[in-house]
Amino acid sequence: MVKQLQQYCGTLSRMPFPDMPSIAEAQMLPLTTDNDFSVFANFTSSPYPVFVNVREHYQILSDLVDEAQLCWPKITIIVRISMPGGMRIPANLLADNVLLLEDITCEEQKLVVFENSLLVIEDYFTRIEIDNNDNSVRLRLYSNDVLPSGALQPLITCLQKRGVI
Amino acid sequence: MNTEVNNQTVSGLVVKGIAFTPLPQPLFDQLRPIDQVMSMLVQSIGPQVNQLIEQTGIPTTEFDRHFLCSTMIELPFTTQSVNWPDIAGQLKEYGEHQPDTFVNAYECASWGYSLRHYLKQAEGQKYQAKYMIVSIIDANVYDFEFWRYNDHWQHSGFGITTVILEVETPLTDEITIGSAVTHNGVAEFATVVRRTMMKKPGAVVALPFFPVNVQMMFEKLLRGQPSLPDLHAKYGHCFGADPWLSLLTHGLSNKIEQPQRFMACSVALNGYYAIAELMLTSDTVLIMNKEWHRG
Repeated sequence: MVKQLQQYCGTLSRMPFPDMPSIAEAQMLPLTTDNDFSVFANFTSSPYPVFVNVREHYQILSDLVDEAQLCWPKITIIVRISMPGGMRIPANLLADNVLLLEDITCEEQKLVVFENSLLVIEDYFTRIEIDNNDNSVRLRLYSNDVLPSGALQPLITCLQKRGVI
Repeated sequence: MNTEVNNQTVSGLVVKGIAFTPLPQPLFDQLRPIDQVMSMLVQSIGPQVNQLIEQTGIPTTEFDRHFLCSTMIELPFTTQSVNWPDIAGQLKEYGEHQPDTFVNAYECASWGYSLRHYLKQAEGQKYQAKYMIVSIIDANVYDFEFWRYNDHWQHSGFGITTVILEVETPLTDEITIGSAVTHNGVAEFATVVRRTMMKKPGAVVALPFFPVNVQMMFEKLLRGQPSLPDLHAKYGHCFGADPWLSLLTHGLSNKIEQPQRFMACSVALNGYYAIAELMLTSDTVLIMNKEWHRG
Protein backbone atom coordinates (compact mmCIF):
# COMPACT_ATOMS: atom_id res chain seq x y z
CA MET A 1 0.00 0.00 0.00
CA VAL A 2 1.20 3.49 -0.80
CA LYS A 3 2.09 5.40 2.35
CA GLN A 4 -0.05 8.50 2.83
CA LEU A 5 1.78 11.68 3.79
CA GLN A 6 0.57 14.98 5.16
CA GLN A 7 3.05 17.68 6.01
CA TYR A 8 3.34 21.17 7.36
CA CYS A 9 6.08 23.75 7.42
CA GLY A 10 5.98 26.96 9.45
CA THR A 11 8.16 29.56 11.08
CA LEU A 12 8.21 30.81 14.65
CA SER A 13 7.59 34.53 14.33
CA ARG A 14 7.45 35.78 17.91
CA MET A 15 7.94 34.80 21.54
CA PRO A 16 5.64 31.80 22.08
CA PHE A 17 4.47 32.68 25.60
CA PRO A 18 4.41 36.49 25.51
CA ASP A 19 2.33 37.04 28.65
CA MET A 20 4.07 34.52 30.81
CA PRO A 21 7.03 35.37 33.03
CA SER A 22 10.01 33.24 32.19
CA ILE A 23 12.73 32.09 34.59
CA ALA A 24 16.16 33.42 33.63
CA GLU A 25 17.78 30.01 33.80
CA ALA A 26 19.87 29.89 30.63
CA GLN A 27 23.40 28.81 31.42
CA MET A 28 26.60 29.66 29.63
CA LEU A 29 28.99 26.80 28.99
CA PRO A 30 31.50 26.77 31.86
CA LEU A 31 34.45 28.10 29.86
CA THR A 32 37.73 28.43 31.75
CA THR A 33 40.81 27.85 29.59
CA ASP A 34 42.10 29.84 26.61
CA ASN A 35 41.17 26.88 24.40
CA ASP A 36 37.59 26.84 25.75
CA PHE A 37 37.07 30.51 24.87
CA SER A 38 38.80 30.16 21.52
CA VAL A 39 36.64 27.19 20.47
CA PHE A 40 33.46 28.90 21.60
CA ALA A 41 34.32 32.14 19.83
CA ASN A 42 34.85 30.25 16.59
CA PHE A 43 31.32 28.83 16.43
CA THR A 44 29.28 30.63 13.80
CA SER A 45 26.16 32.51 14.88
CA SER A 46 22.67 32.36 13.48
CA PRO A 47 21.28 35.65 12.12
CA TYR A 48 17.78 34.59 13.20
CA PRO A 49 16.21 36.03 16.38
CA VAL A 50 16.08 33.99 19.58
CA PHE A 51 12.40 33.79 20.62
CA VAL A 52 12.47 30.73 22.83
CA ASN A 53 14.45 29.26 25.72
CA VAL A 54 14.98 25.57 26.44
CA ARG A 55 12.06 25.29 28.88
CA GLU A 56 9.66 26.95 26.45
CA HIS A 57 10.96 24.82 23.59
CA TYR A 58 10.29 21.64 25.58
CA GLN A 59 6.84 22.98 26.45
CA ILE A 60 5.98 23.38 22.76
CA LEU A 61 7.28 19.88 21.93
CA SER A 62 5.45 18.49 24.93
CA ASP A 63 2.15 20.06 23.81
CA LEU A 64 2.63 18.67 20.28
CA VAL A 65 3.33 15.16 21.59
CA ASP A 66 0.34 15.29 23.95
CA GLU A 67 -1.89 16.32 21.05
CA ALA A 68 -0.45 13.57 18.82
CA GLN A 69 -1.00 10.93 21.52
CA LEU A 70 -4.64 11.97 21.67
CA CYS A 71 -5.11 12.01 17.90
CA TRP A 72 -3.23 8.80 17.09
CA PRO A 73 -2.72 6.67 20.22
CA LYS A 74 0.44 4.54 20.07
CA ILE A 75 1.73 6.18 16.89
CA THR A 76 5.53 6.18 16.64
CA ILE A 77 6.85 9.71 17.04
CA ILE A 78 10.36 10.92 16.30
CA VAL A 79 11.39 14.36 17.47
CA ARG A 80 14.45 16.41 16.62
CA ILE A 81 15.94 17.67 19.85
CA SER A 82 19.41 19.14 19.65
CA MET A 83 21.37 20.46 22.65
CA PRO A 84 19.53 18.00 24.86
CA GLY A 85 21.48 18.64 28.06
CA GLY A 86 19.96 22.02 28.84
CA MET A 87 17.48 20.75 31.42
CA ARG A 88 15.49 17.62 32.22
CA ILE A 89 13.22 16.63 29.34
CA PRO A 90 9.50 16.48 30.32
CA ALA A 91 8.24 12.98 31.13
CA ASN A 92 5.73 12.80 28.26
CA LEU A 93 8.57 13.22 25.76
CA LEU A 94 10.20 10.15 27.31
CA ALA A 95 7.21 7.89 26.48
CA ASP A 96 8.05 4.56 24.88
CA ASN A 97 6.57 5.45 21.48
CA VAL A 98 8.67 8.61 21.24
CA LEU A 99 12.33 8.74 20.17
CA LEU A 100 14.32 11.94 20.55
CA LEU A 101 17.16 12.48 18.10
CA GLU A 102 19.75 15.11 17.18
CA ASP A 103 18.99 14.36 13.55
CA ILE A 104 15.89 12.53 12.42
CA THR A 105 16.90 11.90 8.79
CA CYS A 106 18.14 8.31 8.93
CA GLU A 107 15.57 7.09 11.45
CA GLU A 108 12.74 8.61 9.43
CA GLN A 109 13.98 6.88 6.27
CA LYS A 110 14.06 3.58 8.11
CA LEU A 111 10.79 3.83 10.03
CA VAL A 112 8.71 5.11 7.16
CA VAL A 113 9.23 1.78 5.42
CA PHE A 114 8.16 -0.38 8.34
CA GLU A 115 5.78 1.61 10.52
CA ASN A 116 2.04 1.72 9.89
CA SER A 117 2.02 5.31 11.03
CA LEU A 118 4.75 7.74 11.92
CA LEU A 119 4.83 11.35 13.05
CA VAL A 120 7.97 13.43 12.60
CA ILE A 121 8.41 16.68 14.53
CA GLU A 122 11.42 18.57 13.25
CA ASP A 123 12.00 22.07 14.53
CA TYR A 124 14.90 24.43 14.12
CA PHE A 125 13.88 27.03 16.71
CA THR A 126 16.84 29.20 17.61
CA ARG A 127 17.54 28.95 21.34
CA ILE A 128 21.12 30.14 21.36
CA GLU A 129 22.86 31.92 18.53
CA ILE A 130 25.41 29.18 17.97
CA ASP A 131 22.76 26.58 17.15
CA ASN A 132 22.51 28.13 13.65
CA ASN A 133 18.81 27.40 13.46
CA ASP A 134 16.30 29.40 11.39
CA ASN A 135 13.13 29.16 13.53
CA SER A 136 11.44 26.80 11.09
CA VAL A 137 9.34 23.80 12.08
CA ARG A 138 8.15 20.86 10.02
CA LEU A 139 5.61 18.15 10.74
CA ARG A 140 5.21 14.99 8.66
CA LEU A 141 2.53 12.41 9.25
CA TYR A 142 2.82 9.10 7.42
CA SER A 143 0.17 6.43 7.44
CA ASN A 144 -0.69 3.23 5.64
CA ASP A 145 -4.36 4.16 6.08
CA VAL A 146 -6.04 6.95 4.18
CA LEU A 147 -5.63 10.16 6.16
CA PRO A 148 -8.61 12.52 6.44
CA SER A 149 -7.88 15.94 5.02
CA GLY A 150 -6.47 18.25 7.68
CA ALA A 151 -5.30 15.38 9.85
CA LEU A 152 -2.41 17.49 11.13
CA GLN A 153 -4.61 20.48 11.96
CA PRO A 154 -4.74 19.92 15.78
CA LEU A 155 -0.93 20.08 15.86
CA ILE A 156 -0.81 23.03 13.48
CA THR A 157 -3.29 24.89 15.71
CA CYS A 158 -1.06 24.11 18.66
CA LEU A 159 1.90 25.68 16.84
CA GLN A 160 -0.11 28.67 15.62
CA LYS A 161 -1.13 29.48 19.20
CA ARG A 162 2.58 29.77 19.94
CA GLY A 163 3.33 32.18 17.13
CA VAL A 164 4.18 29.83 14.28
CA ILE A 165 2.99 31.16 10.94
CA MET B 1 31.60 -13.86 43.83
CA ASN B 2 29.03 -16.46 42.79
CA THR B 3 27.02 -15.05 39.90
CA GLU B 4 26.04 -18.28 38.19
CA VAL B 5 22.43 -18.66 37.17
CA ASN B 6 19.84 -21.39 37.40
CA ASN B 7 16.67 -21.89 35.39
CA GLN B 8 14.62 -19.68 37.70
CA THR B 9 16.93 -16.71 37.29
CA VAL B 10 17.71 -16.73 33.62
CA SER B 11 17.56 -13.49 31.61
CA GLY B 12 16.37 -13.45 28.01
CA LEU B 13 18.97 -10.82 27.15
CA VAL B 14 22.46 -12.14 26.42
CA VAL B 15 25.62 -10.13 25.83
CA LYS B 16 27.30 -11.63 22.76
CA GLY B 17 30.23 -9.27 22.81
CA ILE B 18 31.75 -6.11 24.27
CA ALA B 19 34.67 -4.17 22.83
CA PHE B 20 36.25 -1.02 24.19
CA THR B 21 38.91 1.31 22.84
CA PRO B 22 40.12 3.97 25.29
CA LEU B 23 40.59 7.44 23.80
CA PRO B 24 43.50 9.60 24.99
CA GLN B 25 43.09 12.89 26.78
CA PRO B 26 43.74 15.20 25.06
CA LEU B 27 42.58 13.58 21.86
CA PHE B 28 45.24 15.44 19.83
CA ASP B 29 48.30 17.54 20.56
CA GLN B 30 46.61 20.37 18.71
CA LEU B 31 42.93 20.85 18.04
CA ARG B 32 41.90 19.79 14.53
CA PRO B 33 38.89 20.77 12.41
CA ILE B 34 35.81 19.05 13.75
CA ASP B 35 34.87 17.31 10.49
CA GLN B 36 38.36 15.73 10.39
CA VAL B 37 38.06 14.67 14.04
CA MET B 38 34.69 13.04 13.46
CA SER B 39 36.00 11.23 10.36
CA MET B 40 38.97 9.92 12.33
CA LEU B 41 36.63 8.62 15.02
CA VAL B 42 34.54 6.92 12.34
CA GLN B 43 37.74 5.17 11.25
CA SER B 44 37.97 3.72 14.74
CA ILE B 45 34.30 2.83 15.27
CA GLY B 46 33.89 0.97 11.95
CA PRO B 47 36.80 -1.46 12.37
CA GLN B 48 36.01 -2.06 16.06
CA VAL B 49 32.44 -3.03 15.20
CA ASN B 50 33.66 -5.38 12.46
CA GLN B 51 36.31 -6.88 14.74
CA LEU B 52 33.70 -7.67 17.40
CA ILE B 53 31.14 -9.06 14.98
CA GLU B 54 33.73 -11.25 13.32
CA GLN B 55 34.77 -12.77 16.64
CA THR B 56 31.17 -13.50 17.64
CA GLY B 57 30.68 -15.33 14.34
CA ILE B 58 27.24 -13.76 13.85
CA PRO B 59 26.56 -13.03 10.15
CA THR B 60 26.35 -9.28 9.58
CA THR B 61 22.95 -9.70 7.94
CA GLU B 62 21.50 -10.87 11.29
CA PHE B 63 21.59 -7.47 12.98
CA ASP B 64 18.26 -5.66 13.07
CA ARG B 65 19.52 -2.34 14.42
CA HIS B 66 22.69 -0.52 15.39
CA PHE B 67 22.52 2.73 17.35
CA LEU B 68 25.41 5.07 18.08
CA CYS B 69 24.97 6.70 21.48
CA SER B 70 26.79 9.47 23.25
CA THR B 71 26.50 11.74 26.25
CA MET B 72 28.89 14.51 25.43
CA ILE B 73 29.18 14.60 21.62
CA GLU B 74 26.48 17.13 21.07
CA LEU B 75 27.96 20.54 20.23
CA PRO B 76 29.30 19.54 16.78
CA PHE B 77 25.72 18.63 15.83
CA THR B 78 23.95 21.41 17.75
CA THR B 79 26.12 24.03 16.06
CA GLN B 80 25.58 22.19 12.74
CA SER B 81 29.35 22.00 12.28
CA VAL B 82 28.83 18.38 11.19
CA ASN B 83 25.67 16.52 10.31
CA TRP B 84 24.67 12.99 11.14
CA PRO B 85 23.77 11.73 7.64
CA ASP B 86 27.36 12.54 6.54
CA ILE B 87 28.81 10.63 9.49
CA ALA B 88 26.41 7.72 8.90
CA GLY B 89 27.47 7.68 5.24
CA GLN B 90 31.12 7.40 6.24
CA LEU B 91 30.28 4.59 8.66
CA LYS B 92 28.39 2.75 5.95
CA GLU B 93 31.68 2.29 4.09
CA TYR B 94 32.44 -0.31 6.78
CA GLY B 95 29.21 -2.19 6.11
CA GLU B 96 25.44 -1.92 6.21
CA HIS B 97 25.43 -3.12 9.84
CA GLN B 98 27.22 0.03 11.06
CA PRO B 99 25.25 2.53 13.20
CA ASP B 100 22.69 4.51 11.25
CA THR B 101 20.97 6.38 14.05
CA PHE B 102 22.62 8.67 16.59
CA VAL B 103 21.01 8.94 20.04
CA ASN B 104 22.27 11.36 22.68
CA ALA B 105 19.13 12.98 24.12
CA TYR B 106 19.07 10.59 27.06
CA GLU B 107 22.76 11.19 27.79
CA CYS B 108 24.35 8.25 29.65
CA ALA B 109 21.10 6.26 29.48
CA SER B 110 20.86 6.57 25.67
CA TRP B 111 21.80 2.91 25.15
CA GLY B 112 18.78 1.82 27.21
CA TYR B 113 16.34 4.10 25.43
CA SER B 114 17.70 2.81 22.09
CA LEU B 115 17.18 -0.77 23.23
CA ARG B 116 13.63 0.06 24.29
CA HIS B 117 12.98 1.66 20.89
CA TYR B 118 14.27 -1.44 19.10
CA LEU B 119 12.12 -3.78 21.20
CA LYS B 120 9.10 -1.55 20.65
CA GLN B 121 9.64 -1.58 16.87
CA ALA B 122 9.91 -5.35 16.84
CA GLU B 123 6.74 -5.66 18.89
CA GLY B 124 4.85 -3.22 16.63
CA GLN B 125 6.01 -4.94 13.46
CA LYS B 126 5.33 -8.35 15.00
CA TYR B 127 8.73 -9.92 14.60
CA GLN B 128 10.88 -11.54 17.25
CA ALA B 129 13.69 -9.19 18.21
CA LYS B 130 17.06 -10.91 17.92
CA TYR B 131 20.36 -9.08 17.54
CA MET B 132 21.03 -5.44 18.22
CA ILE B 133 24.24 -3.46 18.46
CA VAL B 134 24.87 -0.35 20.49
CA SER B 135 28.05 1.60 20.11
CA ILE B 136 28.83 4.38 22.57
CA ILE B 137 31.28 7.13 21.82
CA ASP B 138 32.44 9.82 24.17
CA ALA B 139 35.38 11.90 23.02
CA ASN B 140 36.44 15.38 24.08
CA VAL B 141 36.50 16.59 20.48
CA TYR B 142 36.90 20.29 21.38
CA ASP B 143 39.12 19.60 24.41
CA PHE B 144 36.79 21.52 26.73
CA GLU B 145 38.10 21.66 30.30
CA PHE B 146 34.67 20.98 31.84
CA TRP B 147 34.50 17.65 30.03
CA ARG B 148 37.88 16.65 31.46
CA TYR B 149 36.92 17.37 35.04
CA ASN B 150 33.90 18.83 36.78
CA ASP B 151 32.26 18.84 40.18
CA HIS B 152 29.51 16.40 39.22
CA TRP B 153 31.70 13.36 38.55
CA GLN B 154 35.27 14.71 38.73
CA HIS B 155 37.51 13.07 36.10
CA SER B 156 35.95 11.89 32.84
CA GLY B 157 37.09 8.91 30.81
CA PHE B 158 36.71 8.68 27.05
CA GLY B 159 36.37 5.78 24.69
CA ILE B 160 34.51 3.85 22.04
CA THR B 161 32.37 0.95 23.21
CA THR B 162 30.53 -1.60 21.12
CA VAL B 163 28.03 -4.02 22.64
CA ILE B 164 26.23 -6.82 20.81
CA LEU B 165 23.03 -8.00 22.49
CA GLU B 166 20.91 -10.99 21.68
CA VAL B 167 17.28 -11.30 22.68
CA GLU B 168 17.43 -15.04 23.25
CA THR B 169 13.88 -15.46 24.53
CA PRO B 170 11.04 -12.89 24.59
CA LEU B 171 11.76 -10.34 27.31
CA THR B 172 9.41 -9.78 30.21
CA ASP B 173 10.80 -7.37 32.76
CA GLU B 174 14.49 -7.35 31.92
CA ILE B 175 14.55 -3.69 30.89
CA THR B 176 13.78 -0.79 33.22
CA ILE B 177 13.80 2.60 31.54
CA GLY B 178 12.71 5.78 33.26
CA SER B 179 13.54 9.17 34.58
CA ALA B 180 13.93 10.61 38.06
CA VAL B 181 11.21 12.91 39.28
CA THR B 182 13.17 14.50 42.11
CA HIS B 183 16.01 16.99 41.97
CA ASN B 184 18.49 14.41 43.25
CA GLY B 185 18.44 12.09 40.24
CA VAL B 186 21.42 9.93 41.18
CA ALA B 187 20.09 9.10 44.66
CA GLU B 188 16.65 8.38 43.22
CA PHE B 189 18.27 6.14 40.62
CA ALA B 190 19.97 4.18 43.42
CA THR B 191 16.59 3.50 45.01
CA VAL B 192 15.23 2.33 41.64
CA VAL B 193 18.22 -0.01 41.27
CA ARG B 194 17.56 -1.39 44.74
CA ARG B 195 13.85 -1.94 44.02
CA THR B 196 14.68 -3.62 40.71
CA MET B 197 17.30 -5.84 42.32
CA MET B 198 14.85 -7.00 44.96
CA LYS B 199 12.83 -8.52 42.11
CA LYS B 200 16.00 -10.04 40.65
CA PRO B 201 17.75 -11.86 43.46
CA GLY B 202 21.21 -13.04 42.62
CA ALA B 203 21.96 -10.56 39.85
CA VAL B 204 25.17 -8.59 40.29
CA VAL B 205 24.90 -4.89 39.63
CA ALA B 206 27.25 -3.03 37.26
CA LEU B 207 26.91 0.62 38.23
CA PRO B 208 28.19 3.81 36.62
CA PHE B 209 31.59 5.01 37.85
CA PHE B 210 31.49 7.91 40.28
CA PRO B 211 33.79 9.54 42.86
CA VAL B 212 34.00 8.07 46.37
CA ASN B 213 31.22 10.22 47.87
CA VAL B 214 28.69 8.93 45.32
CA GLN B 215 30.04 5.39 45.64
CA MET B 216 29.35 5.62 49.39
CA MET B 217 25.80 6.75 48.71
CA PHE B 218 25.27 3.76 46.39
CA GLU B 219 26.72 1.46 49.03
CA LYS B 220 24.36 2.77 51.69
CA LEU B 221 21.24 2.81 49.51
CA LEU B 222 21.89 -0.58 47.90
CA ARG B 223 22.37 -2.14 51.34
CA GLY B 224 24.97 -4.68 50.42
CA GLN B 225 23.53 -5.89 47.11
CA PRO B 226 26.31 -7.62 45.17
CA SER B 227 28.02 -5.25 42.75
CA LEU B 228 31.06 -5.12 40.51
CA PRO B 229 33.88 -2.80 41.64
CA ASP B 230 33.64 0.90 40.81
CA LEU B 231 36.41 1.72 38.34
CA HIS B 232 36.30 5.51 38.63
CA ALA B 233 39.82 5.64 40.06
CA LYS B 234 41.16 3.78 37.03
CA TYR B 235 39.07 5.14 34.15
CA GLY B 236 37.20 8.20 35.44
CA HIS B 237 33.48 8.52 34.69
CA CYS B 238 33.05 7.06 31.19
CA PHE B 239 29.42 8.11 30.74
CA GLY B 240 27.14 5.42 29.21
CA ALA B 241 30.09 3.07 28.77
CA ASP B 242 30.59 2.49 32.51
CA PRO B 243 28.48 -0.66 33.06
CA TRP B 244 29.83 -2.24 29.86
CA LEU B 245 33.39 -1.45 30.83
CA SER B 246 32.64 -2.96 34.21
CA LEU B 247 31.31 -6.17 32.63
CA LEU B 248 34.22 -6.28 30.20
CA THR B 249 36.76 -5.93 32.99
CA HIS B 250 35.00 -8.58 35.08
CA GLY B 251 34.80 -10.98 32.15
CA LEU B 252 38.45 -10.56 31.26
CA SER B 253 39.68 -11.17 34.79
CA ASN B 254 37.30 -14.04 35.64
CA LYS B 255 36.92 -16.97 33.33
CA ILE B 256 33.20 -17.29 32.63
CA GLU B 257 32.38 -20.97 32.41
CA GLN B 258 28.69 -20.84 33.35
CA PRO B 259 26.25 -18.05 32.43
CA GLN B 260 26.40 -15.16 34.90
CA ARG B 261 23.60 -12.67 35.46
CA PHE B 262 24.10 -8.93 35.85
CA MET B 263 22.24 -5.65 35.91
CA ALA B 264 23.84 -3.04 33.68
CA CYS B 265 22.86 0.37 35.04
CA SER B 266 23.34 3.91 33.77
CA VAL B 267 22.04 7.24 34.97
CA ALA B 268 22.22 10.63 33.29
CA LEU B 269 22.93 13.93 34.99
CA ASN B 270 19.37 14.98 34.13
CA GLY B 271 17.95 11.86 35.78
CA TYR B 272 17.18 9.50 32.87
CA TYR B 273 18.14 5.95 33.73
CA ALA B 274 18.46 2.54 32.09
CA ILE B 275 18.73 -0.82 33.82
CA ALA B 276 19.08 -4.05 31.87
CA GLU B 277 19.19 -7.52 33.34
CA LEU B 278 21.43 -9.62 31.11
CA MET B 279 23.83 -12.50 31.01
CA LEU B 280 27.44 -13.03 30.15
CA THR B 281 28.19 -16.54 28.93
CA SER B 282 31.28 -18.54 28.07
CA ASP B 283 30.68 -17.46 24.44
CA THR B 284 30.65 -13.72 25.16
CA VAL B 285 33.45 -12.11 23.18
CA LEU B 286 35.41 -9.59 25.24
CA ILE B 287 37.88 -7.22 23.61
CA MET B 288 39.90 -4.54 25.36
CA ASN B 289 41.76 -2.69 22.63
CA LYS B 290 44.87 -0.58 23.10
CA GLU B 291 44.40 3.14 23.50
CA TRP B 292 43.53 4.88 20.23
CA HIS B 293 46.58 6.17 18.44
CA ARG B 294 46.26 9.82 17.44
CA GLY B 295 47.57 9.17 13.94
